[in-house]
Amino acid sequence: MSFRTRIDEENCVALTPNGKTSDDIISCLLLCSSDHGRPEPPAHSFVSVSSAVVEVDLMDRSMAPGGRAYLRLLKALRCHLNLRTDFLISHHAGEEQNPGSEPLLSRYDWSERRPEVCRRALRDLLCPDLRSCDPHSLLEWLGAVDAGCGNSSSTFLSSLVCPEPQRSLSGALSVSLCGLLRPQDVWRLVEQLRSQAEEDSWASVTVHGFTDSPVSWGEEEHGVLTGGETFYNLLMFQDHAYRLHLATGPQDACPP
Amino acid sequence: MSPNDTKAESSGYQRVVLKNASPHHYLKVRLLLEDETCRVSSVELKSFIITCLKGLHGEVGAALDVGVLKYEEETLTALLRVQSRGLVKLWSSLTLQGSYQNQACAFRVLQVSHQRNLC
Repeated sequence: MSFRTRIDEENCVALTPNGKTSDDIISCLLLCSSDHGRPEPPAHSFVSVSSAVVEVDLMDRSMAPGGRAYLRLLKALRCHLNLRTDFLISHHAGEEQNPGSEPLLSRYDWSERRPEVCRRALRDLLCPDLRSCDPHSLLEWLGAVDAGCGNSSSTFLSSLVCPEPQRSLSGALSVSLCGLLRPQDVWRLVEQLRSQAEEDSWASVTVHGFTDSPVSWGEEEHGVLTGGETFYNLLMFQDHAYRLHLATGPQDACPP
Repeated sequence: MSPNDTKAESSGYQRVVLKNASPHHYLKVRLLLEDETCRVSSVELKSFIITCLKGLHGEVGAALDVGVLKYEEETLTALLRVQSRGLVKLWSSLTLQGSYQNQACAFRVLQVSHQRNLC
């Protein structure tokens, strides 16, 4: 995935495990190359576009290195677009490194990055009844706690209060991880939280996609500035009951 | 407006779909001032936002329930909460406001969400 790029201003790239690469190309000249039976454009025609999303299925047989479609794509990208970007590549610490990545990495400057971890101990936290609280109030409360504005209600500044009925928790722990995390990493975290559940305890996991990535919600973008939200929240209780909240914007597909 | 689709199954699994039901919207905004050394407290910011609303939308705008959930005085960045029906009024008021205490200013809307989970 391209790194430190803004999706509305710069070119962004994402390569997903199913072999599909998605390029969000902004403000550039794009060669209209016909492919797979689409109408043939006039020879050497260029169109000026402000934004274009190009999706390539690298698992397709025609995209094998040396193949006609592969060479055509390479030529289109190299000759007409000055694409330069830093990449984030996921690699799990517990797994063997992909042998094919070694010669690739040796040709570039690279460094290992670890997720940024931030821990906050919360004291005397007002908490709603998590099992009966309505979804909007619950997510609002979780978000307020996450942003650090949970209990500081002031009648002039904000009318936000903890939903009723409420109780006071003597202590809670808020941990945020920021990095390129795979679904397997989230699953492992959920499993560990479940195994360490104590009596009358609960755990909430909220997962956000990258804001400036072509693939933030499934294979779709994050809906910033359009009212779209792409995150999910898993609230787990000690008796293995759970509540899963999926939040999407109007342009996002409803989860299955 | 808010049709809820509820499906309960014998296993205890329940699926609830809420459409267009968000009662509030949230904005992450930054105030840019001509004099970068100028300090604005959270109370002053809230008063300024009400002034912006009143200037463009009159008493109706000023009566909107806008909350300042979080405010960083160093960066003049705030998390605002507004009733969904007042989002356009608030957004337009902030965008069109050009002066604060006789100096040029501008609100930059960094992020908008209808779920309280701004990144």
